[in-house]
Amino acid sequence: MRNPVSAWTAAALVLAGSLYVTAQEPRPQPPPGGRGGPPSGLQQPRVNAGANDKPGVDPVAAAEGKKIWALECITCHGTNARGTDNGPNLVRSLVVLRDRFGSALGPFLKRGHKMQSGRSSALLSDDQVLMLAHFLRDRVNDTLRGSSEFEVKNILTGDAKAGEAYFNTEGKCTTCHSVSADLRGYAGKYEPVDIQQRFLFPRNATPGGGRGRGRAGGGAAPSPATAITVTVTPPNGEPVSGVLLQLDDFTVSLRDASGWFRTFTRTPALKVTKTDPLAAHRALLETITDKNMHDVVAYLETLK
Amino acid sequence: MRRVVFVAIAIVSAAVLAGGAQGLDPAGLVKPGTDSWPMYNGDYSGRRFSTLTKINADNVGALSLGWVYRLNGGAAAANVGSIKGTPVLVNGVLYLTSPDHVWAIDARTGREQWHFGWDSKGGTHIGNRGVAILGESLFFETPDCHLVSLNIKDGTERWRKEICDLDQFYYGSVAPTIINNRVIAGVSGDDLDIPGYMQAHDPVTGEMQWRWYAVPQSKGDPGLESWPNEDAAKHGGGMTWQPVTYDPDLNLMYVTTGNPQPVIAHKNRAGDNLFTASIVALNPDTGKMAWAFQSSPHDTHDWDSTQTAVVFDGEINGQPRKLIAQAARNGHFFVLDRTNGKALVSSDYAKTNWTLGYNDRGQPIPNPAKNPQVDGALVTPNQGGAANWPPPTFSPQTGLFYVNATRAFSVYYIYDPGDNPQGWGGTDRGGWGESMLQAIDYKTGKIRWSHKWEGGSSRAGLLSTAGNLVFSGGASNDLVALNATTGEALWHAGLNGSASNGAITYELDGKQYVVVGAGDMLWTFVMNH
Ligand code: HEC
Ligand code: HEC
Repeated sequence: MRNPVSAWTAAALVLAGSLYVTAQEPRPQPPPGGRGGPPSGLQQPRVNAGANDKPGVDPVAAAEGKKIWALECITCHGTNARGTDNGPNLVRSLVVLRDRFGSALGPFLKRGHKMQSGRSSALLSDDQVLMLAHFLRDRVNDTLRGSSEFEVKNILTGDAKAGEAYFNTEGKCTTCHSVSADLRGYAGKYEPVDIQQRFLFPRNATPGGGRGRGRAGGGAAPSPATAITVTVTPPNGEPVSGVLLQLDDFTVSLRDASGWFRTFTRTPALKVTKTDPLAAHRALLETITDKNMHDVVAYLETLK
Repeated sequence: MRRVVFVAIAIVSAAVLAGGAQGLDPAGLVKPGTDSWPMYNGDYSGRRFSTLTKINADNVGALSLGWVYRLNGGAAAANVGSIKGTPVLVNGVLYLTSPDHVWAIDARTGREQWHFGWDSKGGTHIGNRGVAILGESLFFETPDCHLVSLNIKDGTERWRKEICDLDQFYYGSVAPTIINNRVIAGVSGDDLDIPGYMQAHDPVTGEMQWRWYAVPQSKGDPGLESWPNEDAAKHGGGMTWQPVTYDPDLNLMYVTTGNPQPVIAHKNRAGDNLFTASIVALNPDTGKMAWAFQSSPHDTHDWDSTQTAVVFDGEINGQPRKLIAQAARNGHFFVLDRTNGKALVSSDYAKTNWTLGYNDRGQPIPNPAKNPQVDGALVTPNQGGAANWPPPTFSPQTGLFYVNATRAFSVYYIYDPGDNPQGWGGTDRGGWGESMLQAIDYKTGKIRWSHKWEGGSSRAGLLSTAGNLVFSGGASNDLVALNATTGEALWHAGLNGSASNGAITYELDGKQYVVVGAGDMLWTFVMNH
């Protein structure tokens, strides 16, 4: 999503090599569309200009910008450009938010702004301004929903011993699970956050899965072990059972063991019994405390 | 010379706005006829209740298909989005939107009269709630921050005004509302830390008349004491992304505001964060605040309180009262005195686990342990909320407030544990939920009946009628009619997908219609006898 990575990485590498001189290479073509291109003379990246509200960022240019940032700006504006006592938060700055590849930052810095080196910012080259612009846009993007900066931090805060006790007694987990059978070696299969998600919401869990980054696979086909089943008994007929496909006030549909899709019109005389193998897990959400939850994750994480 | 031209334009415009044969007279907004649905909620009250009885609990089983219209954006538009707004019906024409698109559809035949496509410069294309109409003009918002006016006759553009800043990730989605010859428009956006606001425009020229900020912008602004500092307040969110309701007698409009910013990580905004997640009464002529009630003090779960604040008169403890009620996204139901914002009833309409009870002002007291945590906190409702934007309904006939409620659990994580988070800084993951249509007795806040969506879930919007019916999208990609008194499901019809808006109803040539959107299709049902 973020950082529609450009084709101009090579060009950026050239730029990187020419940090304090003006690049000699021919300029790449300006991005198609997009408003407010850089003022004349500024390097035009072949990065996707993006919609007006989402300009593209080139990670290589942003990384180069970070170096300039560390040399000239960081003490006043902070590591993530969120401000210090000596300089404002630039993630909320309209100069930065209006900027497109140096279009606003360039003129601002050309007017002469304090820098750590004591030099005037007017001396920054157009390429340096462009790299700073990429760096700052990247810091804005850090804050957006779905930003790749946003990752689960340490969730292994529970007490494994307490988790084990809960597993074996109050949680009644052993009615259906065993650490020497289905949960054997469980810790090796998933990241802690996936363990947390899978035990709280087994229906969302992708069967099999893998050590991912905690994004529980929604929408995957339910495993047979989690599928809700239904038994329909007509007034004078044999009961029919199968995997529930649809249930409302008017009809009930299922796929029976031999693979046939069956639909029944609901009447008061038609008996419908739903069975959810995860009913205990649903009920668990009503009673489990956050402490129990963290303890259980810590315990399951010991099942190497 | 210039002046002469201007005067001529002004006269023409005034005539246009007075409402010709095909236009909407302002009186039609205050007392809408049953042959119209002239604004998002049908009338200013937000009740979505119709007095029509031709379709009723006794005969609804005979309701049959009228016509189906599929959104057609023309050759250029590959994806026209889905119907998350409510069509407006004026003089036999339905005006319908999706982001960047407006259609005029003949309400009797389903035939398209015209289509308007907007050349977009960006913005979040998540949904559009619809148009407002006055005279022969309609008004709608675009994702790239414009308020646009079209001629209802042919869809030609009258004017466009920029109402927000795309560079700050604002966008337009809400249906504007016409009040006292003003176009009232709100704004959306919940990525960056920016303030929500509401503004009024002149319907003829489009000029802005006033702007009200949901969060304090400078010293002396009310609510500043509920923020740690001016900078936090100024960037504190509170988007106004749902249509307002209005009481013409009190001349107060009721704005509902969204979540505070930063959204999930909240260390740098200690305090209640007024007036985010609130119902706010404003004077529509000045934009001045009369009162506010905050339903989620210091929200940390992205629980906008933008759910419709429904206006009705009733009795509380035997006393006749002017009331306003909301089933908020945080799972709690509030009935307030709409003259002063004092809470009379507070209850939960979907059991929650994040509060420590109510304070003496009737507001839920957040349990700090259920704020998002680095290692996760199990919370219900989830981020989607117990209710969201789909509109509820109130029937004065049954005295019941109906809302599709979702009871879902998820784990809320803080991703940015630093002291100065920006934007989101966390989110929720996972989830398990069930949903049900709740009929709430407004006098007590107790659930009178609950209709569970057994085979899945439904968040659809609602409509109630004097025919003792409630219409709702169901869990089987269907439109369902329920007995408003008992909750018994009486009729349903399969759609192309789940209902994606709230149904409306009207009568034309002696026939009552029910219209609902599902994805990119508009379905019309009619009682033919
Ligand atoms: C000695 C401290 C200091 C240093 C070093 C510094 N700044 Fe600033 N900066 C400030 C202060 C203070 C302001 C606010 C007043 C002003 O605009 O000058 C500011 C303002 C800004 C603004 C305008 C914010 C707005 O919205 O008005 C930008 C952009 C900016 N700085 C970028 C930079 C960049 C890029 C660098 C490094 C090349 C840098 N600054 C180095 C202190 C500093
Ligand atoms: C009544 C039976 C029952 C009880 C009690 C129960 N579970 Fe489960 N659990 C299941 C079923 C069924 C599944 C789904 C298994 C599958 O997908 O193969 C499941 C899934 C899981 C998973 C996910 C396995 C995977 O594939 O990743 C975990 C972890 C788990 N449960 C832990 C627990 C814990 C901890 C408790 C006690 C707090 C508990 N369960 C109580 C029946 C139960």
